[in-house]
Amino acid sequence: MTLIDLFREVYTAIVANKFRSGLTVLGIIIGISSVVVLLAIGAGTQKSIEERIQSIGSNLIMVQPSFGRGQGAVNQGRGSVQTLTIDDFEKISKEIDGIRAISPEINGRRQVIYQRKNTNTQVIGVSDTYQHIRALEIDVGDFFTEQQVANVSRFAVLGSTTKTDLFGDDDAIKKRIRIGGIDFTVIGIIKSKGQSGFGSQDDRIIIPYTTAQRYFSKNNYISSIQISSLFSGEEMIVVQEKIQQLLLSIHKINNPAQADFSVVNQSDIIDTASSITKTLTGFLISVAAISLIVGGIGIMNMMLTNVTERIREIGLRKAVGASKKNIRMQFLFEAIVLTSIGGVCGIILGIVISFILEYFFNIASDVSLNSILVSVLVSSVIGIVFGYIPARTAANLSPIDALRHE
Amino acid sequence: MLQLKNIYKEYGGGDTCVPVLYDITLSINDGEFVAIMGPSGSGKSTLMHILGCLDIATRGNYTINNIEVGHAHEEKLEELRRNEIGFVFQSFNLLPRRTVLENVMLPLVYAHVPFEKRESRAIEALAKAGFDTSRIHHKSNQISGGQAQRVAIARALVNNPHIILADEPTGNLDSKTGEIVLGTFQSINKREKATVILITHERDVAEHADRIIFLKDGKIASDEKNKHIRKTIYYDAH
Repeated sequence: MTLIDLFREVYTAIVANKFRSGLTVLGIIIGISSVVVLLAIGAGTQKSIEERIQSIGSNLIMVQPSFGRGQGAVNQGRGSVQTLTIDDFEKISKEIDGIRAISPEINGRRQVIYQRKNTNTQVIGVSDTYQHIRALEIDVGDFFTEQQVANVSRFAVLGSTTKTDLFGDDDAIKKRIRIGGIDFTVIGIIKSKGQSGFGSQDDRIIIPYTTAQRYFSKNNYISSIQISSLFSGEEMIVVQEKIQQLLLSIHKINNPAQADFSVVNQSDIIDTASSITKTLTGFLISVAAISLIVGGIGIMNMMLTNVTERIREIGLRKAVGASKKNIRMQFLFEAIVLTSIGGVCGIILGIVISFILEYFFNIASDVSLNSILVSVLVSSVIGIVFGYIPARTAANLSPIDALRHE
Repeated sequence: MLQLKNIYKEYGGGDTCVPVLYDITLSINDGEFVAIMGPSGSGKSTLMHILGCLDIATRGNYTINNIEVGHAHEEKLEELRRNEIGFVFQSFNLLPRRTVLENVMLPLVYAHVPFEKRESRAIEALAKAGFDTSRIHHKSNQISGGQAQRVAIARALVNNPHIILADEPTGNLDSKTGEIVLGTFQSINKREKATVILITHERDVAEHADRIIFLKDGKIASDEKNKHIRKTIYYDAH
C-alpha cells in the first residue's frame, strides 16, 4: 500500500464523515490556537516587562534600606526603614571606582497645588545626575543643574501625567506650584515612559535632593541611592560587591546577612520579574494543555466510533489481503491528518488572534517560533498517541468477527 | 492442491469448549468445482474460514500447494489471502461510497500492483464476471443485487487467485439472478481453471458443482462426484 493509496483512503474516509471530522478538527484548532495565543501572551508580557525595566536606565545598581534579619522582633515595612544617609551616598561616590553617575533619592508623597487644581503625587529629591542614571528625556524645558542642587533651589521637573493633572494642555514652564506648602518653579517636563511594573514613572515630581532634605525630610536619611555603573555584567557585580563591602564597614556590620541595606542590580529585578512571568506562562500553558487533551480525547472518540462503524469494512479489507500494518496505518494516518489540519489551522488562528490582541486590545503578545514549534510538536503527539489506540483496535480485529459484525 | 488432515476446530476452552469440526480429512485438486453443503450449524462456514486462511484449526494439518497453513504466522496468512484466495460473500460486502471500479481495485492496492495497471485489470475482471463495463463508475450502492454480486466476483478474481471461496453467494438473490451468478462461477472454473469452493445449504445450488461434500454435525457425511450436474445458463463473456 503506497503513501498515495493511504492518502486516498484517508481522504475518502474524512470526506464521507464531513461533519464529524469537522467537529474533531475544531477541537484541535481550539486547543492549538489557545497554546499559541497563551504562549504569545506569556512571551509578550515578559518582553514588555523587561523592556520597561531596561527603560529605567542601564547598568543600574540600587541601594535600599532594609531591616537586617535576626535583629529586633518586629519587622517593619521597607518604606519605613531609615538606615541610609547622605554620608553613605557621599562615601560611595568618593571611594568606589567604576561609577558613571550616582544620586541619592528622597521620596515622599505630597499634596501639589497649581491655582485651583491639586493632586497628590510622588515627590522625589535627587541630584542632577539622576537624569542620566534613569535615562530621562526632557520633553520641554531643562533638568536642574549641579549648581541648582548645591543652591537648594526650589525648582521642579514634572512627569507627563502630573503635568497634565495640574496644567492640562497649558504651558507649565516657569509656572509656580506649591508642593507640600512650599513654592516651586516648574523648569522641565519629562517625556512619558509608561508603567515600569513598579508604578508609573510619569506621575511624579523631581526636585533637588538638597531641597527635599531641607523642606521635607528635615533629616540626614535618604530613601535610596541610585547608581549607574560604567560596566555591565560581571564587572558591574564587582562594583556592586564593593559598594556592599563599603556600606558594611560604614554601618559596622560584620555579618552580611544582617545588613540593614540591600544592593540590587537591574538584572536581579529582571530575573525576579521573569520568574513571575514564567510562572504566569506556565499557568497559561497548563490551561491550554487541558484544552488540548480534551481535543485529543475528541480525536480518539471519533476514531473509535469510526472503527466501530467500519468493522465489516475492516474485515473485508483483511479478507482481500490487507495486513494488520495496513489497517493500523490507515486509521493512524487518518488521525494524524485530522490533527495536522487542526494544527495548521490552529496555528494560523492563534497568530491572527495574537495580532488582534496586540493591535486592537493593546495586550502584549509575541508569537515566537518556539511557540509554533511547541504547537506542531504537541499536535503531532496528540495525533499519534490518541490515534494509535483506535488504530491498534482496528488492526487487531479478527477478520471473521469483523465480517460477521452487524 | 488443498489438503486437510484430521482437522479439528473448537471454540472456547475447558468446560465451555464448543467443538465445531471433527476430524475433517479431504483433498481438493486444482481446478475443481466443489460445493460444501450442510444444514445450519453443520460447521460449513467454519470450514470455509479455515480453507480461506481467515482462521486456523485447533488441531490437524492444512496445506495449500504444500505450504503448511496451520502453524503459519499472521503475516503468512495475510499473504495467502492476498495472493492465493478470492472471497465472495452472501452480502457482497462492497464498500458503499466507492465506485464499482474502486471496489474491484481494492485487492490490488494491498497486492502492491502499480496504480496505472489497476484499472485495466479491474475492467478485465469485471468483464470475466459478466458485469456491464459501461457502469464501472456507478457507486456500488446504486446497482442491483445481481450486479453487486458480479462486482464481488470480479473483486475475488482480480488478483488471479488459485482458489475462489464463495459463501452462500446466491443467498441474497432471486432464483433467476442466482442461476446467472452460479453460471458465472462455472464459467470461471472452466475458463480460468480456478478452484471454486461454494458453501451452501441448498441442494439446488450445490448441484452446480462437480463434487459435493456434505457436512453434518461437524463431520463429513458424504463426499462424492455430482452425477446430476444442473444445466445452467453459462455466461459467455465473449
